[in-house]
Amino acid sequence: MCSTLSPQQLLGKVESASELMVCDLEAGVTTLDRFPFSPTDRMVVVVDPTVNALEVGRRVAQLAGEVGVRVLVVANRVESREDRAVVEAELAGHEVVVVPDDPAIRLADRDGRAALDVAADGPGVRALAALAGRLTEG
Amino acid sequence: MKILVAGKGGVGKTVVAATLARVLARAGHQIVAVDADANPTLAIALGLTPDVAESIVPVSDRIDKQIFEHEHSSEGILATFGEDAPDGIRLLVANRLQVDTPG
Repeated sequence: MCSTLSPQQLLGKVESASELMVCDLEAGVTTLDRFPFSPTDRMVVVVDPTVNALEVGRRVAQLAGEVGVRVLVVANRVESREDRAVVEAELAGHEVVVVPDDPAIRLADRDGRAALDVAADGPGVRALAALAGRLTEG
Repeated sequence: MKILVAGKGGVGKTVVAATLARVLARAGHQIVAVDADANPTLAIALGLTPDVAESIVPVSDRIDKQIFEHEHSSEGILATFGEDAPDGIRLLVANRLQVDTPG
């Protein structure tokens, strides 16, 4: 008989054998209480400039703040200064990293391939590589 | 240390998680990637083929929740369920997509 394993259970169990875990959470707003957090952990909240995505992002960022996890916001599909301003207004008080709209990443998605394998030199992947550096420098 | 990636479905959450994992792996980190989404798509975004992605056994399929807590070590779970992904990443998929069957 199968039972659903909560992300909290899996992360809690596996973390001691891992140097660095990257976890793709359930889509939407997830409760963060009972997650095993430590001061070096990071919550990357991904949004795009749409009302619903920003609302979800804002709520997740708030929940993360309540449990003491540092938040960085990644803004995808930002195509204009106005887009950027809307994201920064809705997620005020949080670090926002803009990942430039990159057609090569969309193609990777369409073809079921990794963005890094298709568009490593593109602006989207380069922005994510810079973010990776920031996340691990503490 | 862990990096959790959250957001509304469709915003590019999985591409962000996968790209961060691959970049950090290439920078020399030992990465364990965990797909906790109900619709597990991280495998493809990491660069695994559809065939391999489809063959991955979710941890929940083979572990009883009660036994999980007491009998399986961290290393054991990684060894048993971890799927090899590019750049030395080990991937764990938590759950299978739940499909409602007609009763």
